[in-house]
Amino acid sequence: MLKDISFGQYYPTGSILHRLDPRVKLLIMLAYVILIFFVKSYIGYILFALMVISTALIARIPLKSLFRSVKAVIFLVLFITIINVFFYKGEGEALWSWWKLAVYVDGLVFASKMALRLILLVLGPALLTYTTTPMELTNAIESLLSPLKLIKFPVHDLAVIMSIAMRMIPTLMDETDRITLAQKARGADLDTGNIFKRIKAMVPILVPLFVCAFRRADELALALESRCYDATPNRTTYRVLKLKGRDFLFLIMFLVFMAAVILDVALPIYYPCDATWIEGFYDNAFFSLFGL
Amino acid sequence: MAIETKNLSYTYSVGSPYQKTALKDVTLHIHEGDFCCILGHTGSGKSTLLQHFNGLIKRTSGELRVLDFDLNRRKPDYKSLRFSVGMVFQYPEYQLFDDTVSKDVSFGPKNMKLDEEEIKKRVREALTLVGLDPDEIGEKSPFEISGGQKRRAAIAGVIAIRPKILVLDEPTAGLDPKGKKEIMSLVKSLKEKLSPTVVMVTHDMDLVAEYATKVIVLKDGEVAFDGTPAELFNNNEIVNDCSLRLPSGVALANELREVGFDIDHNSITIEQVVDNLIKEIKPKENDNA
Repeated sequence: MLKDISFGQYYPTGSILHRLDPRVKLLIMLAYVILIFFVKSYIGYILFALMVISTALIARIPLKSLFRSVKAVIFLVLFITIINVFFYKGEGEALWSWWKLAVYVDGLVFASKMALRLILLVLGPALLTYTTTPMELTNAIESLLSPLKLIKFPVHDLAVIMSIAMRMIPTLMDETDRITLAQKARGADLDTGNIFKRIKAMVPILVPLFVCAFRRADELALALESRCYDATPNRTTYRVLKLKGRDFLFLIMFLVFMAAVILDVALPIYYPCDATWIEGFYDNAFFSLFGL
Repeated sequence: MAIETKNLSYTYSVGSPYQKTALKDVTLHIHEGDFCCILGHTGSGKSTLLQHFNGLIKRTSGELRVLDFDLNRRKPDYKSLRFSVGMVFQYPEYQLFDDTVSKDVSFGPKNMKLDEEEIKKRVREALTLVGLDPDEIGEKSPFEISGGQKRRAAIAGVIAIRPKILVLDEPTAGLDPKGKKEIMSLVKSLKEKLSPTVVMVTHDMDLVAEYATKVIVLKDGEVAFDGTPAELFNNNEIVNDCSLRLPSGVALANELREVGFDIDHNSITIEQVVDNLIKEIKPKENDNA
């Protein structure tokens, strides 16, 4: 049941992308997420899609598994698309209208871009978690935040808290499964009835789950203390992160991609005339594909 | 027949990279009145097998029959099955959730949609059977009673549905010798008074020697042995093959045989071996006299 959640599950293939410095991957992903909000043209989205797909190919992750991560937000995407298609007030003649609903060409363009943006927004970070273990991510965050130590920010503690939280997710999922089975064996009915009934039916699972979480937290705190957590102010790490040739290679590749995207975003601003032409061309080209 | 399986197989996560076969062609019969112990290492398929018995895992291949329930049919009545087969999981005390012990024990009967009077009756009966005072402990919170009491309360929560088969997954895990003894004598008395058939998973061979009337050993999802405890522990091939430990009684008997005593192969507990030994020695003493 809970095992079906595929978003964020590490997918080991040992590719060059898996061996990349996690800090590089994290920074690229950060830039990716910020960048995608500036994209306005279909060209930009195609660039992003190409980047995601080529990265997935390099990482040897089957596209099917990658697209499964979209499943988690598919309802959000559909909802936003439908709302935009029917409620967007565009210029010119409406293609179809009824009561307060109307479909405009502009609305279709806007909705399709919105959907693309959301899907790409999920795919990128999914690629990061598919190729990077939670531990590596934590190390990357700790390393990237380490300048904050200068202002006495507890970077290491933050990293430990993060890694414990991530470590606990599968444990608590196992525990949930176990408690669910035990209550089902006593005839608990979790799958029928209206929403209120179902929420009420969760109580026999949630209470033991919380008890278990607190117990584990308690035990873990004891274990940490008995191993003198916090006794050494400057802890070293077993795996020291160090940038290698492949990291620079990917950084440069991403910078080229970034340049292309920025060009695509900036051109219409500096050459408004040409840009409308380009924009119009692409939009029309896109719709002529669908016979609109 | 309490439980009957034929070529029962089960595979987890079919078609994913995590695909794993847990049961392969398991054929077994557990009769009414049996005290059946299931042995096997971690990952041998014990839990998967147990969860088939009350429909927590739905049969996918092979045949399965539990009491009067034919699970080969298209839509078996899983709910009634779960009220006929009581399942006590490992560390059952972690399933307690309600604000008083009595309310927690009433969870099962309430799910059976029994009337108030009957629920009250069953809660009292279950608590008394496990040796907890319904008026004193019953009103306490399950989080303020002792560890041993918690486990008893949790078992009471299962037997309040009056199951005909009691299935226990390592009921003695994490208990001290005294607690172990108490829980086992509880299981024994439940078998006599309530559920005539008991199926128990355990790693403690001494418990197998003392209580089991039938043993099934699983290895890599297959039945490696099916018979009585005495047959199992005298079969060196199986014992070594499945790397089982010998019960202390059998180990003692083996040592005694090595130094020349003729100990009956059916003596597998310490008590039986000692009785046997006394009988061996006594006639000789008489001869000497």
